[in-house]
Order: sequence, then C-alpha cells, then structure tokens
Amino acid sequence: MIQQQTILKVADNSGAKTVKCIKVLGGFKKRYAKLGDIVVVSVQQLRNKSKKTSKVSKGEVFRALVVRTKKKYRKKDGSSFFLQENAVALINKQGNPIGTRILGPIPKILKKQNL
Amino acid sequence: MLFVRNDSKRFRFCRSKCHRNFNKKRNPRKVAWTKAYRRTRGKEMAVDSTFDFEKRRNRPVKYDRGLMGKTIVAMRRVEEIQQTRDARFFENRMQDAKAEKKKQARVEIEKSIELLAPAVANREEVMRNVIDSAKSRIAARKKSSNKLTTTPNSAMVEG
Repeated sequence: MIQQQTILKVADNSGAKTVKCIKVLGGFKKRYAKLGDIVVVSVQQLRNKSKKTSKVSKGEVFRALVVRTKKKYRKKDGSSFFLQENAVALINKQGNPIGTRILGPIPKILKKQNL
Repeated sequence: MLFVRNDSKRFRFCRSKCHRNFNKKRNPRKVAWTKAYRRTRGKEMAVDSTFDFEKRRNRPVKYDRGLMGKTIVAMRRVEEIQQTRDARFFENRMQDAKAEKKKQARVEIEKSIELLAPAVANREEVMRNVIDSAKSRIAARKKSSNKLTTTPNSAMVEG
C-alpha cells in the first residue's frame, strides 16, 4: 500500500538509497500502489556521497516499479505473502531499468512484468 | 501466511499466535508449545524415517496422474505409520510414570481407607437390593410363563 509521500527503499544499484513516492500511476484517483505497480518517485538519498558512482542525483524524478511490500499480497489460491520492507526498482519512461542489478528477494509475481 | 525476510529466508505461520511470537523475536526452541521445543526436549520423535517423506525436494517432477494418485495413498499410509510410532514413543516415555502412578494410588488408598469404608458398605447394600429385585422379577416371569404353557394346547399346535 504505497501512496504519495511514502518513503521507499531502492532495490537496485542505480545509486539511490531512498525515494519518495510522488504519484501512483494507473488510474484516476488511484490511491495505493501494490506489488507490481508503477509509481513516480523523487530521489531522497543516495547510497554514496560521491555522485560519480550513481546514475541518479538527489531530487531527480523517475518512475519506479514496486518490488517489495510489507502489505500482504493475496494470490488467487488464497495464500498470501509479505516482505520485510517497501522497496522499488527505478525504471525510465520506456520501462527499462536504470540499475543493472537487483538487491534482495523479489516475488515471482513480477515475472509477467519483465524486469 | 508467508513472510519473506530480506535474506530470502521464508517463514510460514499457521496463525497469528505463531506470527506474534515470531515478531517478539522469541526463540521457538524455548517456547513450550512449539514443535521445535518438544523435539529438542525429547518429548516427541525428532528422528524418524517417516520424516524423510515430508522433505522438500527442489527437483520438479513431470506431472503424472498415476503418480499423483499413488502419492496421495502413500501420504495416508505414512500418516498412519507416523501416528502409531508417535503413540509408541509416548508409551515408552510414560512407562515410568505409569508405575509411579500405581504406587501413588496404592499409597493414597491405604491412607484414606476410612473414607472408603462407608461407601463400600453402602455399595454392598445397593448390590443386595439390585440382586433381590432381579430375583423377584425372574420369579414373576417364570410364573407367567408357566401360566402360558398350561393354557389350551390347540393354540400351540396351530402355531
């Protein structure tokens, strides 16, 4: 349940450490983003102080794919699962990832959205 | 419910009791109602060949209906065997306790034999009453059956 102002961790090596969700994409007045939804984020913190190693800079606005949520995700068979934190992977407008590696566990549900 | 930690370790909870204890960071080996505790303390079987059937194998098996059917039958049988072995384990564990219980019961009876005496006397009287009433009932039935046999023989012949 990611919404505006939610601070999210970044699960790839794009250089950002935390981002803030600015918009939940996907509909008129869509309030919450769940696993697999795309949000617009603004970079809050970087992993390194040096900007050379990161592809992003503070305050830049990107799109991001939600890859981990603390909110339970219900599968069609009734089972549910949830992860330890809320995390995203930064992507560009075309849907291509900005980082080259993903860190931490990612649920299989995201396979249909090729990342 | 499944919880995936950041180190990719999966934890399954059957109900909120388990979930809440996990969140409190309690060590299941020290919490008395968990299987982990019971197994480490030797209260339940920890090592048994039936447990090998339940292990997770990460090799995918091509779907075969016959195999599925056989697996279900096998599961039932393994469950049976496990239960009998559990019962036997429990028996073995409680053997000493049984002898102890008998000894203690004997001691208690010896101590409080006076409490039992009036009850025993009453019981004898009750039994006597029961036997007497039964005897009288049998006698009455015999009388009535005698009466029946001495009534007209024609009815008996036809029947």
